Amino acid sequence: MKEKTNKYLIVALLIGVVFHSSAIFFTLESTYDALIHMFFAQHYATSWFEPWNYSWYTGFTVMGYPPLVHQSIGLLSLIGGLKFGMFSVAIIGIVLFITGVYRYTLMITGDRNVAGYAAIVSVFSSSFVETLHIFGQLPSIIGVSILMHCMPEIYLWIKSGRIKYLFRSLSLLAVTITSHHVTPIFGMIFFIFPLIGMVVMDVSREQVDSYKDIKFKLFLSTFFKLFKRIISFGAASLFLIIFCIFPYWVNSKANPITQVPIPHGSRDNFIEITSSGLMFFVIPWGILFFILPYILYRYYSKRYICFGLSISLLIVLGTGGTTPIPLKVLGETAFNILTLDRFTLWASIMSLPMFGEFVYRLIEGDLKVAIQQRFGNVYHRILGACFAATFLFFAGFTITLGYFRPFQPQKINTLPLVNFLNQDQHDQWRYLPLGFGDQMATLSSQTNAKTVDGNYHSARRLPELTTRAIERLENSKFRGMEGIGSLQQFLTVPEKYNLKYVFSNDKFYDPILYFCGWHRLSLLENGIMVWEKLNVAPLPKVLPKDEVPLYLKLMWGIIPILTVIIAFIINIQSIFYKALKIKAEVKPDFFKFVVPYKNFPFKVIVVLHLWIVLLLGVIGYAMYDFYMYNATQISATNVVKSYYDALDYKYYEKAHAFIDPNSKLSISQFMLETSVADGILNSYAKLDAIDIQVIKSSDERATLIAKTKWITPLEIINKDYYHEAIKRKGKWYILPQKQPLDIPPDQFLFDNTTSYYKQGRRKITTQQTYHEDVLKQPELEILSAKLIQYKNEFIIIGELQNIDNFPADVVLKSTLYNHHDKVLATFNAKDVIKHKIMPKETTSFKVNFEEISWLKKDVAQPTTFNPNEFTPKNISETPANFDIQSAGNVAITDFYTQVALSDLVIERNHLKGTLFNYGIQEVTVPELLISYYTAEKELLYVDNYFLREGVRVQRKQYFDYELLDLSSCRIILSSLENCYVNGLPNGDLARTIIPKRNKEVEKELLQKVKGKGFSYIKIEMNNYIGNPK
Amino acid sequence: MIKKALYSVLPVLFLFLFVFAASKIDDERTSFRLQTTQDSFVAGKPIALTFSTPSLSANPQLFLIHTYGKTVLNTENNNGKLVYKIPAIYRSKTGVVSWYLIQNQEKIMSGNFKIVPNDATPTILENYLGPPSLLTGTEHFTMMVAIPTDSYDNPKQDNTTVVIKDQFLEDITTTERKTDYFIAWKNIYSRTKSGKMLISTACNATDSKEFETEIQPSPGEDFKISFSRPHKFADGNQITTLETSTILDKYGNIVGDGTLVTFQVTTQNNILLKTYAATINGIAIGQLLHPDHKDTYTVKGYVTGIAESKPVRIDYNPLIDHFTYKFTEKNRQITVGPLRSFMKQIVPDGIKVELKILYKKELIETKIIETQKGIATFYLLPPFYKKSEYQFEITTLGVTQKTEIKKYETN
Repeated sequence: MKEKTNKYLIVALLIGVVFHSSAIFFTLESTYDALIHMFFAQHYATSWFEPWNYSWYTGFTVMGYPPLVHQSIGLLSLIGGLKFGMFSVAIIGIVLFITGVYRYTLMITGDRNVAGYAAIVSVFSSSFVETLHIFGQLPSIIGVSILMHCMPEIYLWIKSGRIKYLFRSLSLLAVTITSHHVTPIFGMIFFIFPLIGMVVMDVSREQVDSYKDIKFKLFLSTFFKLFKRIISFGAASLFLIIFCIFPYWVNSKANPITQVPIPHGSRDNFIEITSSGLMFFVIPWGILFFILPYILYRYYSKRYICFGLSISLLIVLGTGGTTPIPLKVLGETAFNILTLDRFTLWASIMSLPMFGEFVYRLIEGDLKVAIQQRFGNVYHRILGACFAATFLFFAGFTITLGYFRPFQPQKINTLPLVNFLNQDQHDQWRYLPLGFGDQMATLSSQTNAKTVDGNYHSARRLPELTTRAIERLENSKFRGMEGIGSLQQFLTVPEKYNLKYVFSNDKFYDPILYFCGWHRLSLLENGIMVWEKLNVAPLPKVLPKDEVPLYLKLMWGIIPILTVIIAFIINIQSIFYKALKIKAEVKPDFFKFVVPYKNFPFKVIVVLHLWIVLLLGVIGYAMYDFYMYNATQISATNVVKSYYDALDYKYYEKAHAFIDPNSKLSISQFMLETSVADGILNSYAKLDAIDIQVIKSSDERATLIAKTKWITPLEIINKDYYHEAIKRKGKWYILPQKQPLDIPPDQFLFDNTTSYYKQGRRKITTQQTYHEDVLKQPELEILSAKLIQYKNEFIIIGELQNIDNFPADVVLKSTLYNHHDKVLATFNAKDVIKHKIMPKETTSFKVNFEEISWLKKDVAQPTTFNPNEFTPKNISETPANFDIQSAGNVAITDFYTQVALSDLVIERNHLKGTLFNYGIQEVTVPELLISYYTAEKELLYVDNYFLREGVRVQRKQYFDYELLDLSSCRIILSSLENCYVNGLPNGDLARTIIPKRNKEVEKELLQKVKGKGFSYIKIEMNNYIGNPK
Repeated sequence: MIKKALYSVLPVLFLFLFVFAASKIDDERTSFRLQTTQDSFVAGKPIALTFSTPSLSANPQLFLIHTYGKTVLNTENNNGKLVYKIPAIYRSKTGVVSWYLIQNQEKIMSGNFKIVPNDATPTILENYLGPPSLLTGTEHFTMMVAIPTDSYDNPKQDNTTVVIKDQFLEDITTTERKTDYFIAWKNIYSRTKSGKMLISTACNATDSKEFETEIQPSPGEDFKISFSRPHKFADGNQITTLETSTILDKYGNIVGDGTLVTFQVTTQNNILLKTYAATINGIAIGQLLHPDHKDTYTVKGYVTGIAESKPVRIDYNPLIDHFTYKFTEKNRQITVGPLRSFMKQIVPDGIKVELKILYKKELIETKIIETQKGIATFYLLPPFYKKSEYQFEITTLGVTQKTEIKKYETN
């Protein structure tokens, strides 16, 4: 009989291609991984055989990821650009997946109708939708799809022993290996082993009358009969796994992953962290979870018993940290490296044949008959409708998730950035994007400029990055302690990495940039602020790289594409025959093992019903719990919590809705009062934790204290707020808080200041700057420099003055030496210095010597984040000497000095003062530099303090600073001997400018205090303007 | 073993072969004579070395050592005459060129000649001036360096005259300098007046472009300060403006714009307050908020370590000498005010009122509230203040009043 084309498969392919390929244009670019693959593809498109890439980190090798998908995108990009390549490969992936499910199901069930149904449901399977449209894991999809294509061939080889099947299967396996390394390795265990079990079962079945008759002895003897074929396939595939991506294995050995585990949602406890549970369990399972008993029932039938064991293990492993089993099964290392969501993905893919079978039986098979007989037609229809609706809902929900709850910052137009990097030789330095999300990969693939960051953390080499569990520097605020800690190190010592430009797409990082000595250069037309650091040398012309032998380069460049070509040649004939039905093909062996779909067991229907009722119960309870927890005005605690949540996300309208309506506070007034208060807490803080305690409550009224913890780029801030809540008409509201009433003296004011401008190159040229356009470096003088020991830490402190007529940007680097002049530590002044100083302005400074944070594993990592916290460099010897290299460069912005210290009270070891801003710019973050002096007016210590709120124009801001106890602080060395300014000894030039410095006058500027270990202090102000006007 | 022997024998074998071959060719030792007598050439002009030899077949090579590098020249034996043409790139660069006539790997003759700058070509002047800014005075100088070259970028012979000219205000100075080791230079000393100085050079018929250096004022000298204010009351709201006299350097130039002046205020209680201002045209204007209590400020201006002013004294008169307060709502609400100012007007909003809460003479807490319409209201929430009695100390506008002990209900 001539075989007809399977119309279900055609339908599945048509719908699948149309549905997914139109959707990917809206989803793929905002997925987590797609852009990384595009960046890798760009690498292959430009340098096919060269595995070294300079763009990320400080250079890394692309041999850390199987190259086939990247190379394919790279090849296709030569036709229509990178995005064309990526979308084409994605569409190929979709086709491969649908056909793969079809062939896999055909093999499992031997029924073409069922396989067709499975192909259709696979199109909307939520795990596939999620993997493609949310995660963008193209290599994973292609890998698993080809593996599914490969499985019937493996079956047939073991069953029939015909050599052509062996070649076919191996050729396809090679493609899987070169597209994704994890898939074939785990695929062996979870897919191919059970498959072998099934073949053995089938061969045994041929010797007896039914599956029931297969006893273990028979199974074992059949297994040994087939052992040769199995072992030959196993050996060949092992060889392929090693050979096809041999350079990968060589590289893994040469550069073992030193990265500390980076937290991943799939390892969370899904019950505690519900968002991870949603992403990594609920969505990938989707509707499948409702028919899980059926899937297990089918897979635990004798023929599929091995699949049953495999899927059970996959289900358990997919639960991540919810149960302790995955950790025990995988061991600590594997558990921390693998993303466990892939187990759920495989489990769901493995379930698809049974899902297809279930749907087939529900729609036109024995299940339909059974239900209709028992419960009637209407019930069957309703059930079917509910089932279909839930199924489509999951697919729709998954594909639109990224739209309603964006995982990425808004799409960034990278053209202005690319242009910026190309102009004026800006690409001769490294850059750092902040707040770009995965789109940083897009930028990297469009420019030659290099960044210190990157988006493939297994390839990192800098210990500054590998020791930290941060994904990227770019989104370091989400990684609290470690994130901002390491970002601060990069920003403090940028010259180490030739890092000169920061592209900030997130205002959050602005204060730390300013206080580390960076300044704003320009706002690009896409709204991204460019920050620049002076005194950073360009990248050397020749950058270091790890050379690999030529044969590895050739293998890497040739084998992957070759596997595709070979697979194509070997399989093309059979594909043609199958697709065009030119020749009646012999029906493959697995068609012999079709199960007749008759008499759906009623027990299973009952179990399914019970299971669904149970699931609905759990879901209902979870939703009720969720509602009670999140219902905004159901209790006083909830309203306060919701109020802070709304403020944190800047949903002012929502926050205003929680304010007592009887207080007649209009939204405009509320907005005015909330948003006038600029400052680190209002503009740059992220609410990290909130603990609400009810102090007193009655039925109608409650007094609460909100203990909040805010993460700011500068420090952690704990602040308690008192609130009163009131119940009106069953809803709780917050009573509005009092606002400051201070009235500025003047309605209109004017201000004259000196502004500066640097021409840069006066002549338009691509040459280096002309000699006469190079400005003289401003002359600085280090007035004092001391090596001190405080709390077991060695610190350099001192004072510095700009003695030039030009304003200066100050970079100050200090090095500690032992008795033999061996360098012990070196670091730059971070935020305890005014980096931008006016002519004749002085600043105190402090250099802490930071260890690359938490480099040593045994150093306990603090459990809570404090950006101020760092591991002091463990200096085993007492430093005997130090030097200071300071450099001045002409600065033109950020000198706001118009803040006066207008009141000060010193009581009970506290400095309580008032700052008054008399200029016309709003100071967003005022910093106080407090210098401590001994009774002899010798500098002893320098500390800093950030005010939580800003100082508005002509307004006051109060501060309360607790003085330190410096009785243990000891000056080790006080010397100006090894201090250098712009490379020349300190003072040499200064004496020609100021022949006689009046040292006594400086002492008049010190405030007498009664302190622990000190007698005088000096207060200086460093003002950060967040929004210069 | 055989291989190893082969490896050691082969080189020896090759050497023999080579020696044999060489001796086969080198059958005649010929003599050569340099015909070119000139030993100094002008850059850019063709240079050729001519040799004569009795042999009609000898064809030695000329090995050249030149600043640009080493090379070997070949030529043809034209009836016993050999002409070696020096390549153009070598001809245009001055310096000593050594040559070696080599035949069959052996040096036969050697010698050298000189290439001198081509004065016939137009002179090119290369100039460097630095630093681009100076301070006024007599010790500071900028250095003008001129390197006259011929068109081929060869520095001129020493003792070439270069004219260095500088202009400052009305003065134009012209100096002649001779090149020494290729360069002519002059230290141009700063002046006592600030301004822009233009400098240029000339050599032969070539003039340089203009170079500039900025003469900037030196650090300032001591100065005076003065103040002005809308009224003399300590209302905590108005602003006192502090102004320096024009700060000049020791030559009478106005100091550079942006020079930072610190105004330091010493209060009656020896508390140091400060405000900063940068100069414009030598004058820095700082602002200071009036205190909210009677005080006498002593203000002094500093350019740290460089210059200072004499102190000025500013007296602020008190706005009030006493105020009223009342207790309501079971003593839980304390209302201070209304506070009235010097013309009996209500004080501006935002005057700080401080409430010290004492329990048995022990300070429990300090609350600060700002006045609105002259009134400040404190409310002691029962959950926070559970004691049965409290006493209060209220301070505003520099006046402190202590209340009597108030009793509270406790539950």
